[in-house]
Amino acid sequence: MSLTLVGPLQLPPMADAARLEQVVAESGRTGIGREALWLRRSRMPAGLNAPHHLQLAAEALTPLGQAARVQAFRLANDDIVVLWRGAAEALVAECLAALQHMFIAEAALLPDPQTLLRRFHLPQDAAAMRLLLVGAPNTDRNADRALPAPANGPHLTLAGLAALEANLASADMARFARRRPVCVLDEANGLVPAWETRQLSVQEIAETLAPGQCLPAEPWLFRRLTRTLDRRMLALLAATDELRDATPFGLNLNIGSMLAPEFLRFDAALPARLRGQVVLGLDPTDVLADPAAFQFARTFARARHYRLMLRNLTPALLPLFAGADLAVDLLQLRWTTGWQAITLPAERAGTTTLLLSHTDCVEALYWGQSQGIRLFQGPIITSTGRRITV
Amino acid sequence: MGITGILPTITPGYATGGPDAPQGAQPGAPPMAYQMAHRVAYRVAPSLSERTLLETVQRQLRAPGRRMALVLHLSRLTPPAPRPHHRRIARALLQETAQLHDGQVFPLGNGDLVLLCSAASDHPPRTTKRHAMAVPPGELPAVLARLMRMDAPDPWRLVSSWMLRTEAEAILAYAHARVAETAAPLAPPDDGFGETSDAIALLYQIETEAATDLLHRQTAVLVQGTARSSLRPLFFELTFSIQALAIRAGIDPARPVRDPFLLRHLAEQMDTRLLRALQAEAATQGPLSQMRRRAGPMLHINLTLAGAETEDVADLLAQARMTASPLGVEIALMDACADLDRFHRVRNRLQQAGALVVIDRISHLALTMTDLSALHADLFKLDWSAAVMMLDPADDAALRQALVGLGLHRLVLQGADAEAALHWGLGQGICRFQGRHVDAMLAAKRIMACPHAVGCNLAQCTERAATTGQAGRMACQNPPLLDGVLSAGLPRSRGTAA
Repeated sequence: MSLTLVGPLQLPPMADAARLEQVVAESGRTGIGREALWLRRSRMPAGLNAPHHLQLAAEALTPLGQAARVQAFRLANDDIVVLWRGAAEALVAECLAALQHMFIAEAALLPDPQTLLRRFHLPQDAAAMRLLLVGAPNTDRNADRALPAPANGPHLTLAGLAALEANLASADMARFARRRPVCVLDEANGLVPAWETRQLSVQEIAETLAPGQCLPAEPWLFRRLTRTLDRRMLALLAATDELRDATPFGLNLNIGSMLAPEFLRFDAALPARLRGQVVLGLDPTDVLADPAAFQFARTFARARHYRLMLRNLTPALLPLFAGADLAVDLLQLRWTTGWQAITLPAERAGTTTLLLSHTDCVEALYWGQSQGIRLFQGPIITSTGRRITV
Repeated sequence: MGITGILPTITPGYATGGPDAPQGAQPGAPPMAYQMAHRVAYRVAPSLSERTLLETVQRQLRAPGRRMALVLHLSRLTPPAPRPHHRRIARALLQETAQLHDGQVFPLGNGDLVLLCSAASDHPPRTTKRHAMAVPPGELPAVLARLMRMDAPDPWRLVSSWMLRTEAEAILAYAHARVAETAAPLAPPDDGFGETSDAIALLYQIETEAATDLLHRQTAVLVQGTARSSLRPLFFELTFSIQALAIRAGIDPARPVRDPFLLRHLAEQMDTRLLRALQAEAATQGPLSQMRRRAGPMLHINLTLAGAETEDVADLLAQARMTASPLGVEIALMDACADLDRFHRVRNRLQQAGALVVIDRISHLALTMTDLSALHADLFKLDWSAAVMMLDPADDAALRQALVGLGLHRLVLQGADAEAALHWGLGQGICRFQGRHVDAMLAAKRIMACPHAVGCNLAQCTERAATTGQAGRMACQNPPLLDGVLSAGLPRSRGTAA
């Protein structure tokens, strides 16, 4: 194959992600066919993500300038998408070869070009492209490679926990309150907000009230702490007028918190219009710690018209609960790459009873969509939480 | 609420030892701990609430209208119920109905809750946002029965509902009976988890207490055939008694640390103590080491995942291989499920080293809610609960299916403290048991077989078998038999045994 030497940029001026979303939506609506090549410069590894590397990668797309009715789009995360009409497989192959050629000196660092260059066929792949578009602008370039923060600080101790609980009793918790949206995948409109999870930011609480300490490093003490936080969160929500204009929301609670006086006060303050619209997320470990309390809490929650969700299911945990009828409304799968090797039972597909959380990369969205999951939550949906007005 | 008298009684279970027996009750323990180790039973006189109930009933019976009385007999629940949340939620439900239906709630000293209210709306109901979810009085019995279903074998026995006009005698008799009786005091209202400060005291006790005298052992047996006297010891489980530690730490027995999360954290600290105790025991050639040399039943220890990954456990496994006496490691279900990936790593490592991996503390409810075969453990220990004998047919079938699915040969019914547990287990096809009833059966068998048992009684033999320290076994003339080595040659006369 002869390579076209890269000369002046042959692609048309690049539009932005919003325009691309319009074109994709239009293609989905009208059925007009388009071809697409997505260059995922955001996936360039460390050592190949300097500005000149990214520019070089962009130039690998110039052969497509010869395709019919070509359009180019640059996304906020530096990805480039090229659309055209008609067949141009030879040009795509040239792009691939050009990419390999340009980074031949760093071949060991360069990921498989097939993962950097992704093909789409519109209108069939409109939904998949829209998923990517939702995630791309907010995706940190290194998010997929990000490692969990090292537990460098001193671990939480029992005495530290007691002190922290005492501090929490008098702290203004409103400043730690956050909302994180859950979105439902709608074929026509892409990801549409369904509800918000309201929670307290543990990270900020740690920074403020226990600086330098690594709270989650002692998992059982951390779980105990979450119960204290649950109660403070419930107390916040039960404050006068806090829920007056509230939209549907979710809370992650311990079972003990659902049966606490604070929950009863919250329940009394909940507007009638939100009955049936509040999702209570429960952790499987908590369920197994006290199954009798779980069953009691479940009956109580049903009587008060709450929706229940079993959360934080991992690929390892799913087989434990797969055959069981826990009589909950939703299952929340916590995204890890381990899910990619798993195909969910067919009866789960196409329903809104599954929620994929912690979606921090487009692979998560792809996998979720391929399994019929329609509810998503995670940093790729929103990169920052908003404060609750209290 | 007045205390009418204090009649201390020693709970029978403690006298027979067992893993839950508080060691503070041992002679020589500090007087305070000794006092706390005994459950003090006292009764409380009727309070204002009982008298007010009777007066209110008498007053309302003069013009009963369409008023009704509803009694939630929480006092009929089997311990540990009613738990704090039972009372709290039920009272909240009754209170809501009372507010909407011109009623009043009476929390009684015996734990019962009584609602007196209008059965139908003589007065227009005050429908505010707060009362939108209030349950109508007629529907309350069904709602409460559903709520208490898991803790009340027959939920309908839990609720009485009387119309004042037609069933005056019933409510009057009930109110009179409450005024006339004394009741066991209710636990002080709490959130059901205990204070963090108590856990700190417990931690201090774990870190400072001499461990060996708090180490208990309990034998699990295989019941062979249909004859229950045919018991074969399977393994000894070594445990620390957290209750005994709590007593020594001076924690109010009425408000123990019950938070499962704090208890798991403390269990991690206890791992270290257990492993150190085992090392010390091996170094001094204590009874456990001697038992293992005699090729008695295998040893089971309780560990958290963190504890099972320590080098001490690796050493212990290496020793077990050298003595050809395999080790069983018991891991709580909650621990395993909290970090399943780590559990899989630990399980593989233990099994490769020849240890048996046991999933511990499985309630019958957890068994029906999960498919535990996915854990690929060697044994599963199901907690005995009398509630399993009173399940409704659907729940009973689900439990039966879960038991069979897991494999009856891999199940140990633990906490078998009564004949009923064995009866139920054998009826289900389970043949491995552990518990105080089993301890007593084994002691009886030993006494029958031992030529030196003339001066021994059942309680002494049970207690000595549960002890791991040399001191607690001194009086026994037949340690091999005490260690469950039934095939060992019996010494010819008293005093010749090692």
